[in-house]
Amino acid sequence: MNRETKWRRLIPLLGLASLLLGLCSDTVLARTELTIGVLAFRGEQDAIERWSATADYLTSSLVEYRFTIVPLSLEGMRSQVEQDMLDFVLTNTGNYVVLEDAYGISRLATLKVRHLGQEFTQFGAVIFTRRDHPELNRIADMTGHTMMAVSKSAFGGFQMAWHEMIENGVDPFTDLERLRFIGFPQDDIVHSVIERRIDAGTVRSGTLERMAAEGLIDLGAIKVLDARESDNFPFLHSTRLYPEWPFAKARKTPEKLAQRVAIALLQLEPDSAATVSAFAAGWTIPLDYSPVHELFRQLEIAPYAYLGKPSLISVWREYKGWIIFSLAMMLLLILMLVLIGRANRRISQSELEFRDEANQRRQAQELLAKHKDELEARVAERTAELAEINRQAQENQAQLAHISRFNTMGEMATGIAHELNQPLTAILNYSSGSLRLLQKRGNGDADAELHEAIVNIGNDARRAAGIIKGLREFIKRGEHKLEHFNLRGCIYSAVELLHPRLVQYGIDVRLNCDNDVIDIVADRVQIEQVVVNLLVNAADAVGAVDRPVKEIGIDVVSNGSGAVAVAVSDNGEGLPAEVIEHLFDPFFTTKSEGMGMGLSISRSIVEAHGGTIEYLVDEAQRPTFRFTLPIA
Amino acid sequence: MSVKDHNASNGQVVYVVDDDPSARESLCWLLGTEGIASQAFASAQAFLEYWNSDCSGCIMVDIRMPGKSGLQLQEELNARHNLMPVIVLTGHADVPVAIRAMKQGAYDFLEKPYADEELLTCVKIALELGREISDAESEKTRVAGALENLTEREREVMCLVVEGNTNKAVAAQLGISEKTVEIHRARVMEKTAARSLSELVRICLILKDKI
Repeated sequence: MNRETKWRRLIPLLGLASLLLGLCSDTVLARTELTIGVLAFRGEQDAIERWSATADYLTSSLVEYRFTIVPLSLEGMRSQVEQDMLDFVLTNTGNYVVLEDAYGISRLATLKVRHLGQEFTQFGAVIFTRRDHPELNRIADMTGHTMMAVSKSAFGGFQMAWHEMIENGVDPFTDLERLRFIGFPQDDIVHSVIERRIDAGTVRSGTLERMAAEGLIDLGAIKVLDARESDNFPFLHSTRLYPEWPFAKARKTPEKLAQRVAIALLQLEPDSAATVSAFAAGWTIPLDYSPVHELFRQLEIAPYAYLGKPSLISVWREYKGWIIFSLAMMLLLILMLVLIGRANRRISQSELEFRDEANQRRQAQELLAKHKDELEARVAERTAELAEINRQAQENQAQLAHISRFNTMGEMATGIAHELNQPLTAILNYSSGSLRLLQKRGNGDADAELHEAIVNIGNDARRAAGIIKGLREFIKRGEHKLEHFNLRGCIYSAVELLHPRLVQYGIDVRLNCDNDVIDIVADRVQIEQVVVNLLVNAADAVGAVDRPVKEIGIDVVSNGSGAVAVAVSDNGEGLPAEVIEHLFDPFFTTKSEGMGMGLSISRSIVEAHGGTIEYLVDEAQRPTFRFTLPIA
Repeated sequence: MSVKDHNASNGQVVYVVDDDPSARESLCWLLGTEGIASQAFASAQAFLEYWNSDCSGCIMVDIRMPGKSGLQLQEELNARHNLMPVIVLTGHADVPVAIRAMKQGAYDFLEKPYADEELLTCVKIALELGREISDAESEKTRVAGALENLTEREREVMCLVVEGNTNKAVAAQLGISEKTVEIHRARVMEKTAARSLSELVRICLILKDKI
């Protein structure tokens, strides 16, 4: 049997088989749709063209599934992954790390890239300047110079170089004179450096070699800063190497399915349609992506920055339980608030009513209290008035008593002193005279004893006189307080002081003063005492007799010879001659309760002020005590 | 009222006025021991009745007495042109009373009981003063009488001589001869009993106002 006949016999069999297969797949074996989200960094069309072969390959490898390519932007990718709309993800290294971190996607394989006839699973970035730049030789030299890169978010186009510069002590954002991002294509960066428009630039590894191969540049015009040597990596690079694009599964995708996909990918031949159209060399076992994490952490950018603005859905998924719980609680809270609000309204209503009632009651109470207060105030006022009157009376009485006591003591001392001083003086006269006589007689020893006795008599008499003088001075101390005052006012207050007694006796006091102001210099209290004493005597005298009108007259005459005369008269009986003789003697009295000091004191005071006091019967035949005081 | 004259006080008497008998009698007795004559009075009134301008010596008076007080007595004596020094006595030293007494011309102020030396010194000086005053008074009376006897011309001569003029100058001023001046001057000296020019000057000073 030749090959042709064999082949021809097989045709119907194949047709049947394919028919059967077709029937199976379409009817018996209903395929499950699976989506592969692909980062469309050069547009959707490009992504579809590049990866459709791979999807087809997978569809053919896993018969119960149909794989579809979904081209997505970075943001679209994130959003779809977030919403669990993808089964698999095919994206660049940086983005993968972000999504892995945020949504738990996990890599199944790492892309093998074919570049300039070679296969690579890793790539880096080259930082370079022009060959003849005089100052730039190392990355650390870049401070103060200008630099150009693709964009801040380009992993190979900037972030790798950024990380390397930080490691070398140069922060591209603060230490450079200028940092320019110009976007894709990277070729412009290379041209700018060579044409001296910029000091340095960074591009993904392999770019320079490709451009050289294309005849766009001469590699000899380029100086790579801190060039590294890595195994199995022939391209110029300044940074460490990072794994190429991964093929990853979403969190929800079953492990078993993922396993089968991974196996299928690893089995892809370098020259298969899927590989070729992807400009790749196939897939290899997933590499370690932790250096990428490390880079992001150090630069404090994605995934942290990326997560800076979580979407509502991600939040919802992440915190679904909590959100529902919170909502439930809030609902409950609102319900409770409503209930409480109602209760409160009811309470405030009753409180309002209660307050109204309380107000009314309080007003009533206040009114009551006010009346009570008024009543009490009035009572207190009256009580205070009475107390004041009482107090005044007591004060007057006390003052009078004090003055009397004080002056009585003084006068008694004066009286005693005077009375005792006379005999003491006589004793001293006799004793000293006796001594003189003894000396004149000159009897010597015979009279010595006598002489001593007489000396002792004299000494004891002087001691007695000293004691009396001390007593007098003790009582007299501070007695005399001279001040300017109006005698008329002084007389008024004396009358005021005796008012109760005068009222009690029913006595009228008539004051005649020839001047409103009689200015004198004296001890006011003492002068008042004199007036009081004379008034008391007059009141007692006129009070004791039966008269229809009981009257005391006070006549003050100040017009005259530098003295004022005060005459206190009454319409009583007058004094008998034997009384007049001893009127001013101390301890002389006609009253049963008197001490006999009043007039004696009065005389002492008046005389101490340089005045005189006398008893007389005036022109109207009225008994009168008259005293004078010098006018200031 | 007893007079104790020990003939030692040259006709001068201490007049003691005090209402207290023991005080005044003991005082008089004490003065007697020193040979000082004294006379006691029980009241101001009694002394005023006794007093006359010929009395010589000093007066001791107690301030506080019934009836007229010491101060009132002093006033009355002043009114009568008494020339004797007054010593005021008091049982209690009241400053206003003392001031008033001194203002009224009291010679001194003694508080009872006094020290005997103080009292005696005070009395002796007062008596001395009293004698001087009365001597001056009697001299005045004598000289005044002498001047009454001078003629007008003699008086003129005397005044010029006392002013220090020489006889010649007096003669020239009065337009009389120097001899006549000498005669007038001699008669002036005779009539006034002046023994020298300086004595004549003293006499003129005593009676200055009367010349």
